[in-house]
Amino acid sequence: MAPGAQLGELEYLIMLAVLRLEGEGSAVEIRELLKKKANRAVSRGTLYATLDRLVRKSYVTFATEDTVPAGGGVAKRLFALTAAGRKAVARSSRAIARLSEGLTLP
Amino acid sequence: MSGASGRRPPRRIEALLARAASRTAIRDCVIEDLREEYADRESRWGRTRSVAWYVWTSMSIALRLMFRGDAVQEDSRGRRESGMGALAQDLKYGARGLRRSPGFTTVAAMTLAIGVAATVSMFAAVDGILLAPLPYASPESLYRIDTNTGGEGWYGSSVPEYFDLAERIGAFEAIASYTGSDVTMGDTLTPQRVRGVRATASLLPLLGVEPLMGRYFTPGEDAPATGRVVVLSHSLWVEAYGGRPDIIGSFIPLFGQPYEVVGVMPEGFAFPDGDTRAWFPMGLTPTSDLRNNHYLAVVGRLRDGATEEAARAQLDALVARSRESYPAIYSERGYRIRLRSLHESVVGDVRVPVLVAMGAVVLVLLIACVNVANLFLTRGEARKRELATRTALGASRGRLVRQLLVESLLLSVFAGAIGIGLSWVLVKAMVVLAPPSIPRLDTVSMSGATIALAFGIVGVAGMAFGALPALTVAHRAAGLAGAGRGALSTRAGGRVRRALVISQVAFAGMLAIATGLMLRTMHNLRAVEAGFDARGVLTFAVSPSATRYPEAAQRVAFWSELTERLRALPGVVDAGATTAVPLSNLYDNLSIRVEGRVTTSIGDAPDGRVQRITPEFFSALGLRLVRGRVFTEADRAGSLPVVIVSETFASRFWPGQDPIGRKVKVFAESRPWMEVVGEVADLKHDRLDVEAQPMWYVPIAQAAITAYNMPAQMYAFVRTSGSMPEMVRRSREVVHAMDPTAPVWRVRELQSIVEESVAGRTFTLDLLQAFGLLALFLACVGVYGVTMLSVSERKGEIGLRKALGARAPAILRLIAQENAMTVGIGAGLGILGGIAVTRLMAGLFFGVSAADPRTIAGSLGVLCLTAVVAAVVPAVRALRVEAAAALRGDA
Repeated sequence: MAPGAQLGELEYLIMLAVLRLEGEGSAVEIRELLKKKANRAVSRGTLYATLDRLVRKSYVTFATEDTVPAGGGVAKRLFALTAAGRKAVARSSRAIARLSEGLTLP
Repeated sequence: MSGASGRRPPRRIEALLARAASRTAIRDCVIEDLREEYADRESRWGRTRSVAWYVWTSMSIALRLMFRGDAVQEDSRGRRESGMGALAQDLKYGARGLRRSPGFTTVAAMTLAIGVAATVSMFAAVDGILLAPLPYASPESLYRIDTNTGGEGWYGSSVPEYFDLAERIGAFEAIASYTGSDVTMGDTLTPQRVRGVRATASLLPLLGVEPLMGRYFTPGEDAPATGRVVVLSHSLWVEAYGGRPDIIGSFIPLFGQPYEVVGVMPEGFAFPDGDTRAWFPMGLTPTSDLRNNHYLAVVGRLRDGATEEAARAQLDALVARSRESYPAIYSERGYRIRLRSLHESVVGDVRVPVLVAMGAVVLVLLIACVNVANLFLTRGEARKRELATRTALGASRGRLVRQLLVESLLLSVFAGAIGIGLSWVLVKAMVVLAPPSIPRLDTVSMSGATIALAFGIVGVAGMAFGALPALTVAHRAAGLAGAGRGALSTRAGGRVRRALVISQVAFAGMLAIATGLMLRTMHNLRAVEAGFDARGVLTFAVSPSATRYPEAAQRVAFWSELTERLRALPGVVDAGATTAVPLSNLYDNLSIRVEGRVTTSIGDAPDGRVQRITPEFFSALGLRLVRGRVFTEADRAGSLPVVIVSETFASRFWPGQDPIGRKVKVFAESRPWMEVVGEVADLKHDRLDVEAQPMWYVPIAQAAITAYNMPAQMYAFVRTSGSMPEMVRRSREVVHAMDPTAPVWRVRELQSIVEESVAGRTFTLDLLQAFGLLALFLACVGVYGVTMLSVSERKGEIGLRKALGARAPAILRLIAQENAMTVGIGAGLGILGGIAVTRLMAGLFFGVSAADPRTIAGSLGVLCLTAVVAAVVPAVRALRVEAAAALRGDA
């Protein structure tokens, strides 16, 4: 992927959600946040496919939390933005801001 | 989330998901997320619903991960895909293409699914009924041996003949005989009649099926006056004795006597049919019955290495010897033995109806496939531009063809999945709804072969649908120029489509003709006079117990009193009794002597079916008296022996003469002559399409003398003006009051017996009608589609004609001409095919020939009418074409 490429809308929204969850967000939480704040119902499959793409683009990292809860639960799987990811989000945000400046949106 | 680690999703599904996600960077995340959510759901929902949720969710995720939406961009940027990747991409393109045109996908998939479902379920029936081996050990060496010593048809052996067979035919390893014997089981509280079989001790070992528990009865037990032993069917054991394991060795009441249970057969064992629930020894000796009393069904197992020919040669030798030894029996009317595989004797009669249904279904499938092929062709034309563009951008022809194939395969698999689901439902329905006249239908299921056939159809159909447009399109995709000119018709594509529709019309025509002939057959059958008025008649069998009514005179008194009491019930118009139900073909057929005819041996004696009746029988059944009188109470045991004969009887033995006052007797010298006192209308003794045979009636009071015996079990016939269920209840009360040990059974309405006698044909007709209608509808869709397309392709031409002054009739003629060609050729081929095919099913028709011109004309009329209807909408559309718009080229 060439640096500087634009993000797709869903990619952008997901990365915003990851950013908002401050590196503590699991896929389930990302999906809930998209639903709640962005009113976007994303299927699990689409979410995973997009997350996978973002990981491959090195915009998002995926890590398993070290501590396993007592009682035999499973470790949390968390997503966070990489530096390149933050840059890409910022770039897209700026582009959107510039383009929508002065517009009266319905 | 509650992370109860004990709750794990199904491992196999999880493994599949893991494989689907293996090329992603977040495989573990997906698996663990779902595992956690699954545990949470299972704690709330329970296992079944959670597993369903998991399967659904993981499948949708897996599909999404395999066909990720961004692959196109990446590919266009030059990333090289591996072979697997290319396939995945094709699949993804295909799925997307199908999604993008939901109308096309739905219609094509549903059409194909219906075709697959019909074919697969019918094949399941063919497989289960005709192809599956009989459920006995080495069933291919089992044979049935039938006899004919005069008269029509094939029947069983007599006792001495059976012993000849058992002792003289070395090609057989074992021979056994049996005869159906209904039995009263239980005591005075809950007597019930059970369908049983009396058999020789050799029967069950010959079939080679081990009892579930206990043993068969032994040759020692299979002797006269010994062996009160019985082997129970699994169902009887479970229903009557709760599956008690200690049943072996205990005694149960049968025929009013204690019988020892020595064995229980395994579940699913059926011989001679699934209704038989008990087997007991018959205790035959070579001298226990007459040589001309043919009532034993005989089966044999061929010795290892012995051939059918060898067995036939031995049977022929036996026949020759018997004719020499017993000239009185065989010299006049002959002695023939037929050897038939047991499988053939079980399914032989239904082979044609079942294969006809299968043929009909295959035609429907073909018609459905033609429709789908047409859809694909049309779509291929519409996509010319897209494909040409891709070729111009460098896609190889092979890649395009492959993509088209993948797309059609994808659709076929989708349709196949729906079709298999549908056929599963159809098979269940078939088992429940089918008439009992079709053997083994209750064992039909979706076998491996059936599923394999479904996949085969799906695969072939998928390849074929893809190949058609793929070849034509890819051929022409070379230049953008041609494609760019848009919707101009290509003559070749039009011809292919038209040929497809012609074949469709021809297939539908064949089905229409077969259906028409079957309709005529049913019409003719229903017009046949059964000889009696079946409406409002209840019949049931009663067997007064042998211990209470041992003497013939006592049984006569029982039946006289019973019919008397039945007549006294409110709502009863009349009530009588006889020894066999009409259309059952279960009448005693006795050799007789007719006064004035010389009869030298029993071999050349005429015969007639006898009924032993109470005096009111004729009025209860509504049988017309032609001349003379019916029986009265005055026809007692000691009075003048009398007989009433049927019209066929009278016309056969005294053609053109009055039978009243003539004399008849059974063959045995010791029996008295009977005087004919009346003549009644014929009664159908067998199926409605079988000619009535001579029949004679004697009063029960004289039956023991004039017709050898007075049987215990008889059938009551009650003509009622009231409700049937009420009548059944009251009748039971009457019987119970007279003899609490006598079960009332085989309770039927006479009307339903009549219906059942044509049930096999009704089944065939129903299927043909259903498939015929389906075929007409599908052919209609085909004609509609091709006409519509032709109209839209010729818009320019139509517009030009309009601009030049053509009026509506001229435009319609244009459309009609084109369609008339297509339908005409199709119908012509349909007639030829129909005549060829229906000739094979000639045995199913009654009163109508396979090439009946009226039926053919009628069927084709329906077909052509359908075609006209199908062309109406496109024709109207053609009329609406505006000249100016069409000429501009943007209509």
